[in-house]
Amino acid sequence: MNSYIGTDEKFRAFTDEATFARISADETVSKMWQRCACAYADKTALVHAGSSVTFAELDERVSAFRGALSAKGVKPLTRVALLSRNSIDFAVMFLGAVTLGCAVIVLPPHLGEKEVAGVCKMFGASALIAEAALKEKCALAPALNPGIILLTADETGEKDVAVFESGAEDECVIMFTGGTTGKSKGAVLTHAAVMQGTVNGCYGVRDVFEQKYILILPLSHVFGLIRNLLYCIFTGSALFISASPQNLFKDIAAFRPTALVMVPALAEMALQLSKKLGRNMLGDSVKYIICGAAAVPQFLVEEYDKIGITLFPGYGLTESANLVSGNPVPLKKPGSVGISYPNQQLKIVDGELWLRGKNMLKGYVGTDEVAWTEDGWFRTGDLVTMDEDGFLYITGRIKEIIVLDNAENISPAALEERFNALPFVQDSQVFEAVGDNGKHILALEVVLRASEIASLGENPKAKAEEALWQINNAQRPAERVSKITIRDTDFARSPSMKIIRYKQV
Amino acid sequence: MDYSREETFNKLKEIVIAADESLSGRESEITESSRILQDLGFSSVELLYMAVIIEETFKIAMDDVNVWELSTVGDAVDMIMNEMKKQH
Repeated sequence: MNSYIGTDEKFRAFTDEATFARISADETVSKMWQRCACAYADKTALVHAGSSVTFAELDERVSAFRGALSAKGVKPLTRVALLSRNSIDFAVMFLGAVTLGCAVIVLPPHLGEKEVAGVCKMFGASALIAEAALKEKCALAPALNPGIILLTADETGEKDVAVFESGAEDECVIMFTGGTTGKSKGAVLTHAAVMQGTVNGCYGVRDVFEQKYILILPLSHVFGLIRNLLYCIFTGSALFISASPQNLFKDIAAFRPTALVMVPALAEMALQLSKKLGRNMLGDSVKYIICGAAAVPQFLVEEYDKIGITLFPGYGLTESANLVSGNPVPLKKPGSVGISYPNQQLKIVDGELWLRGKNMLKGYVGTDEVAWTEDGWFRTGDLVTMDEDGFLYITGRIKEIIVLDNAENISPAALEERFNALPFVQDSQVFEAVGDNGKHILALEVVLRASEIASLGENPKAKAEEALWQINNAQRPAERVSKITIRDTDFARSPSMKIIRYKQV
Repeated sequence: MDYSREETFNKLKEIVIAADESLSGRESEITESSRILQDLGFSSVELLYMAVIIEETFKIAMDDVNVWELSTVGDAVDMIMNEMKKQH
């Protein structure tokens, strides 16, 4: 297939001209911060744990922390590891380091003391900055990294240390990723990539600037850092940093956000609660839900549409500075993950999506793995199709392809989608198992959707099994499973709620 | 109104099953010593669902409770009894 280039023209029709004209990426994150701190000076930037800061107040704190970094000897164009839970302090430290010209290694806050020290060494951190409450986790780092500079968020210095003039191709942030091989490593994103990722969130919706968002996802994930925090800075939007998902609905009622960024499992739970309690748990202020980090079932889009909320299925990767594609409003193809964002080139090779462009990573650190093909393409490992309008559909993952004894290549995700279409199926997993005769077979496990079990009448498990066998028997023989199990418990899930797949046999 | 410990446990059992209907028909397996994550197989999302329904059912606010720290069904019963005493 020929390659395809994403352009902003594709999105022009979905936003008014005045808004569209404002969607222009700054050259670097530092320049964006300087511009927005002035342009939105008196507007609320962040709200967390009972306190809030305007853009101007946040800039005061960012400048003071930049001064503290500089006074301790942290130099531009070095890497600084950041350990913090979601908080205003996170933003202060992140922007302080970036505006000093440093690349920030964003550490997942659950890392232990040994892991923090090890990652600092592996990724070449010159400094380790942390929220005060996590200071103890930094104790081992100096032994493994002689000369490493330690700071906590509460340290301040002179506010007149100049913002470093970073270049667009300088390193800006290093994020953890499992990538296509599943091995943990760091993806290096330049200022240009992060800025492209940030403005990508602006395309396709009508309400872009000066919105109200709630942050639920971790800032150590690109979906949290770029689509929430940096998007809100770029658009002058207020970001409420939720202290815990447990407070989500109270936070929504108090803050009245206009948009939410959620994983599908949480969006579905909010829907079920709303039905059970007879009131919309998301209130009447939310217009959009940006949904991703896992496959988004079509029924979620349809159910939210009924209560006047547009749920956008999107697709992204850590390596692409978050978003690759997204759906414009009005949503016409709910089964699709949308069209490519601008400045990105796509091609589909043997079903796999390959990418290159401004938003892509510079490379990996902490691994020998090379991110690129010889001619500069990033292989996503995701199997996709594209329709005549340029809309992408995810059909599976390369690494999840099952090759059976008969050399048939099976994409479990494509098969699962057929079973998931049954309303009572919450989630399913097709995997390779060894049958009684030692032969490799396909097996299916299913979790039933709690809210639909009653609709199956008496003996719901047997009824569900019967319907599943019917679907199964309608598949071509090579794609039929030989065993169906209805699970009593949910599948094991990763912190981002993705199903942890069974290892291939 | 406040509930006795037994009533609280029985109501909580209903909530647990509503949060994860795959437990329906296995009511007898749910005891105060059942571990919420390991034995009942709750996901973090189901735990959140349960927390919201607990607040609604028992008319309590769990602002000072970390739902992730409730290990067993009995812990949840203790928490509800305490909060009802404090708040009602």
